[in-house]
Amino acid sequence: MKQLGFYIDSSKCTGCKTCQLACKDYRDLDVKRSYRRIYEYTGGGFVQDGDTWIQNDVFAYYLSIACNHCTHPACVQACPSGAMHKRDDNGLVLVDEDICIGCQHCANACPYGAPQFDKTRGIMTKCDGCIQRLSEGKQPMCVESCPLRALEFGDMSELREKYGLTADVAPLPPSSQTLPNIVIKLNKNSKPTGDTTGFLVNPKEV
Amino acid sequence: MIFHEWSLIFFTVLAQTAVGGYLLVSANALISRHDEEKINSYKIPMFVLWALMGIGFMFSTLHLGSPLRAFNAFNRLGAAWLSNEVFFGAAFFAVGGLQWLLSVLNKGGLMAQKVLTIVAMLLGAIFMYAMIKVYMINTVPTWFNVYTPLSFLMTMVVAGLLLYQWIKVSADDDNAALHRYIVLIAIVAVAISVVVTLGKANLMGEIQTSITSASALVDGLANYLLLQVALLMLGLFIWAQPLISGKAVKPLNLALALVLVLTSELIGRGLFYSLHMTSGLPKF
Repeated sequence: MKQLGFYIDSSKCTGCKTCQLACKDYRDLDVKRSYRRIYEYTGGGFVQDGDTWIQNDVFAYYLSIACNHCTHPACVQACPSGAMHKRDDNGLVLVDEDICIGCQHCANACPYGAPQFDKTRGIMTKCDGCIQRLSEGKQPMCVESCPLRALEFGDMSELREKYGLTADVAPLPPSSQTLPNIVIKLNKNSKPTGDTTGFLVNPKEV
Repeated sequence: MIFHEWSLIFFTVLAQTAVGGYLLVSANALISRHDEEKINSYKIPMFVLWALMGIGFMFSTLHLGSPLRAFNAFNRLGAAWLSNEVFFGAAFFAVGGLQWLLSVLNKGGLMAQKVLTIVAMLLGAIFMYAMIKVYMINTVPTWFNVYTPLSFLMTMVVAGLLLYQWIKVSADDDNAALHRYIVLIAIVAVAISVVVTLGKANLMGEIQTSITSASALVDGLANYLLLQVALLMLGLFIWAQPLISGKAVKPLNLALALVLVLTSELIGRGLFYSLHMTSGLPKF
């Protein structure tokens, strides 16, 4: 079975948010919804050495996260209407907007913040991997917009062969929970999953 | 504010109260072999129980973004706990409501009413189990722990017991021994409920991800907890008051106690929803 997914190069990402805005513009999202979001994880501090303060272990890095089209999607498991479903042919996790009742239980379950409620239409919406663009032979909007070329999209078996298997890094949840279809190239500052030495710098932007 | 999920707060608390009360009233009726006339004498207070359940269901549909499609909630019956919850809740309401209707009309015979009562009790119990399972999601650490079933169960026991007693008194089917037993059980149940609340508060202090600390999710968490416990204790005091002062138990007395207990439960449930967080990134 084919499974599409994302490659995220956190070593290149500068947190410019072009991907987030390109997606927002293309999908015409309101202020609150962002199918792709940039999480800035920061921590560490300075130590005093006599009269000077020395940079000790200050760190910061960015993770650009949309829907990871998980192999075991928590959102699909929670959904009572079957609107949230995983496609057999390409592994994308999509909302059938004609069935969704807007109970938002998928958003309770997803540990990546992917399902996002459209208040005006009363239904759940999310990243669909730009399935329309894919059918036209194009790449998703976020991937094409990235000025750092830090995002890729494609068949997971190829992406994993090329870039490895890493899907665990703070502040993401343990990948064993939902088996997300992402490969991450770690930033040199990366902290392991479960790390509590840092914090989210931009809570209002995600 | 802890009431952003007000519709689900009211739905879950009212449903647990109604099912808890129904299980006790029905078990009582079956064990004491109530005849049709006796069951009929419960019709008015039992209407209040079904009204509470009905109001609860109204709240549950208000929660939906697309309430006109509410029937789609049954689509994944057997596969999603939310579908199971809605199905067994509706079935409990329908079968129990039918039994109530038969009791009002004095139709169908005692046997049919007994069968319906037993079926409704089973449906109500499955409904409560499904309601717990809806929230046992392994990616939500603040819900995926023993305090979700415990706190839901204690709402059923405490508020259900009080509703049961109110129904007995309102149906003029009470005596001093019954009140003594109920109040004794109530004291134990409220004590367990307080232990559960404090145990849960303690666990919340330990749940932390890279981004979110459970204890920081609610501003003034300690104050809400204090208010929740204080209202429960005050409710218990008014509940037990007639027994302490040796006066007759009046429906109004118990109704006031029920309002206090339910307010406490609503605050507790408000905290439950406000303490939602995932094992990874925050909910949108």
